[in-house]
Amino acid sequence: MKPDDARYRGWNERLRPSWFACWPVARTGLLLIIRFKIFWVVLALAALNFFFLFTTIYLKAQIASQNPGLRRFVDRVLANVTGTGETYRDFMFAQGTVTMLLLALAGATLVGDDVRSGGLTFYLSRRIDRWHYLVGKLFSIGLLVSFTTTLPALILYYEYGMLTDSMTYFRDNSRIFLGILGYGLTLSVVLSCLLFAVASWLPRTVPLVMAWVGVFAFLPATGRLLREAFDDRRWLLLGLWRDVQLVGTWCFGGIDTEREQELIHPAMCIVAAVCVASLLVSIPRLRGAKVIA
Amino acid sequence: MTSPPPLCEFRSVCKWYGPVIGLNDVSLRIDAGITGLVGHNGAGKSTLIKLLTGQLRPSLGSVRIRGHRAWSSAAKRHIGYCPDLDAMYEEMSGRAFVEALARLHGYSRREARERTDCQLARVGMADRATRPLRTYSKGMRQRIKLAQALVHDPDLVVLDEPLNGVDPVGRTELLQLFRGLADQGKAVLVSSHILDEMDTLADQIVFVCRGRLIASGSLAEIRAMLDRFPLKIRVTAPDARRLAHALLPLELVRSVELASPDELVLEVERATEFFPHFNSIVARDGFDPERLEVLDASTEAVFEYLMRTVTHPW
Amino acid sequence: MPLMGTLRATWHLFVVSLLRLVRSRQTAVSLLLLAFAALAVIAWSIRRERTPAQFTEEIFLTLYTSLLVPIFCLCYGTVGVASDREEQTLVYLLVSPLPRPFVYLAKTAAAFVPSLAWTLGSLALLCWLGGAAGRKVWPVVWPASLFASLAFVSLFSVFSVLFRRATVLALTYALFLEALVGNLPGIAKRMAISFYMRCLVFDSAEQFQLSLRGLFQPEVFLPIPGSTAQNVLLIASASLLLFGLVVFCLREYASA
Repeated sequence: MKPDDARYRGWNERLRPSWFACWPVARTGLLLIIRFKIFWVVLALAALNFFFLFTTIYLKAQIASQNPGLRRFVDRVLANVTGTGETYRDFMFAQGTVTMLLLALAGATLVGDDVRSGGLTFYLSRRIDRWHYLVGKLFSIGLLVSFTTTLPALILYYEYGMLTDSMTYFRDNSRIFLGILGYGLTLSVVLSCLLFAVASWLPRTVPLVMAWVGVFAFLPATGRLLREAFDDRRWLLLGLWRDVQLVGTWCFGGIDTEREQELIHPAMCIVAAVCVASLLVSIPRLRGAKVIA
Repeated sequence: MTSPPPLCEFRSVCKWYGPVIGLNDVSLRIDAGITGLVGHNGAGKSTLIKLLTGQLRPSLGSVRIRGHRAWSSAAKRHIGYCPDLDAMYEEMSGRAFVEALARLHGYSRREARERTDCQLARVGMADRATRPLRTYSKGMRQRIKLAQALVHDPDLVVLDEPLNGVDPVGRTELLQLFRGLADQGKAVLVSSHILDEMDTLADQIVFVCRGRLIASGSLAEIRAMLDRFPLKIRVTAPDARRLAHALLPLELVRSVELASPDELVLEVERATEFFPHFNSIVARDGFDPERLEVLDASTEAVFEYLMRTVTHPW
Repeated sequence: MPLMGTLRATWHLFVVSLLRLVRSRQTAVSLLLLAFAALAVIAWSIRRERTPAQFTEEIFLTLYTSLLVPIFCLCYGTVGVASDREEQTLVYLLVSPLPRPFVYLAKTAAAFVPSLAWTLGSLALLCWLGGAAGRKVWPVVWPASLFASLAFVSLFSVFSVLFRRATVLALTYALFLEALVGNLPGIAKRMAISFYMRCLVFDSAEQFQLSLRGLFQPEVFLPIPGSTAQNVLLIASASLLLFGLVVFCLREYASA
């Protein structure tokens, strides 16, 4: 092929800063996930809870508007769907299982394959540094978490408000909006850092899932058991998902019990420590080439 | 007395992958000697090789190795396969890898070890085979793959891009090895994109295009069949202009080009008939040609002409 | 190849596959997971007197059955043919003169050994860490673990010959579908392997007088006799093994 056939065109603009490359890196990661049908199945499972709650909110509003006499009965039966911060916080917490599964399966595709098959070399051979690559990957994982937690919660918040009689719901509950965003951001940051760290060291699916199960299933169970044994609630902090929920509750402004007050600062510290440790552990793995001794 | 079954035979083989035809009505025999397999990417070479090594079953027709269906275990005893993929058990050493695959043929540990040593020496890896495979260069990996293909002394050796990543010195060694195998009476099928090596290496060449077998035979035979493309010959002689004048009246000479004062480029038909005439003209008129070179009888030239025939049949 | 040669080659493939599995990173991570589980059991057993019934209900039927058994089984069960396919080394096995049934049997047998070692070994360790209560439970529950592991490995071996992304599918099945199907009302839960494992345990652990609550209440769970559950698991294992063998023998692996 002659060079002319490549049809290079003249280009006189300035190149954008390398940080703009983070979005293409994130987008590529998401497109990789979407390509596989199995992830659509898992995303559909993730959507089940959302659809259930969506329908519940709608039914509640319909019944209340068509038959006001039944309002108290409906409120009693569907006590967990109240439009308060707890509803959305609990929804995002309940999305935990399927989000964990999704991330465990996606980790190998999003991060592990780059480390294992040398795809990292292609990224780092461009005008980007490993920090841009890292941010791009964290961004893609964060977006994935947002699709199953933050985005559905926002849609439910909007639905609930739109099915009330006026805009006062949004005005009176603006803190909920910030809470959803805050909790979602915390989830995205923590899970993306942790997943990147685990996947960069355990790039294959099964070891990654095993480590994930250890962190998110066995550690919380151990925490609960130790709490029973020593009668000390601080052992519950071993459950990272619960720690993130505590931080999320703080975002919603819902920390009102003394018991949870004493755990909030340790939970924040643990969450921050996990993020920092994950990043420190990931950095040595971000090399463009492997040196064979 | 019945003759022994051919070593490898394709009989009207078709293979399709859903709506895509991989191979279309291919009939072929492979016997002792070196057979080159040539074709563009996507021509059907890999499909042909996979059918031959029993990885795929034909949709129509049959592939037989010494009378056995290629899919059967009995056929695979006769085949040694060196794949183009660069994948092996990376945690093993080269020696351990070859020995492990030797033992899959049912050899005892001692027998497998002896055969492994022999083949490693043959491919030039005897002193480097104890390191893990993941530390090997591309050329070393190719040699190990070759060793595992030869360890059970197969009758038919199938080599898919065997010279990929091999340095020029190593290439010469391996080509000599292939020649040696053919001289022992084995059939060696080499699929390669390095066409200039086919010129000297292959006894027979099989050309594949779009799933069809478009030509097979020796290079000279195939070239002779391409009437549309007269043979180009460059003649270097001191009195080139006078020689051109003498050759022009010949019916077999399609065209003469004076490339330089002492160089002619001729296009001739039916080359076997042309050369006696050329010789008699040279002897009669006292010409003193210094060099005679055929320009387009190489594998690459023949391949190009065949592709043109296929894409523009008229 | 004569029969002796075939058997020799099959044995050799079994040994090579087994060694590769045992020396893989899966083993190190399995140790890590077992460490987490052991920590949980230690936490469960300290400072309290526990009964065998509590160990069975709180450790065996929940953590062990739902998490450890399926994960240890898929760790090695999905690796067999699928990992060779993914690493593009399956071609060496497909072009060897070893008949395909023997290739499949060797690979699957190699998957059974570490899977059973981990499931039974981890159970033994957890029972020992569970104190006197755990040690009383071990002789009662290990057959359930054995039969369930056989069924899981057979199933995951079928995944490995059928699907390219066998590990992902096996994970989705083990961590999600097993839980979902196992908790369905009525007899639908009989499609889950864990159901039969639990039935075996309910039967054999009757002496511990398990206080089955929630979804494990007999009227909700609808258990079947232990002997029937055992037979179902054995038949399922054999059937899946045979199915996987037939599929592997007939299937073409074009990009092996």
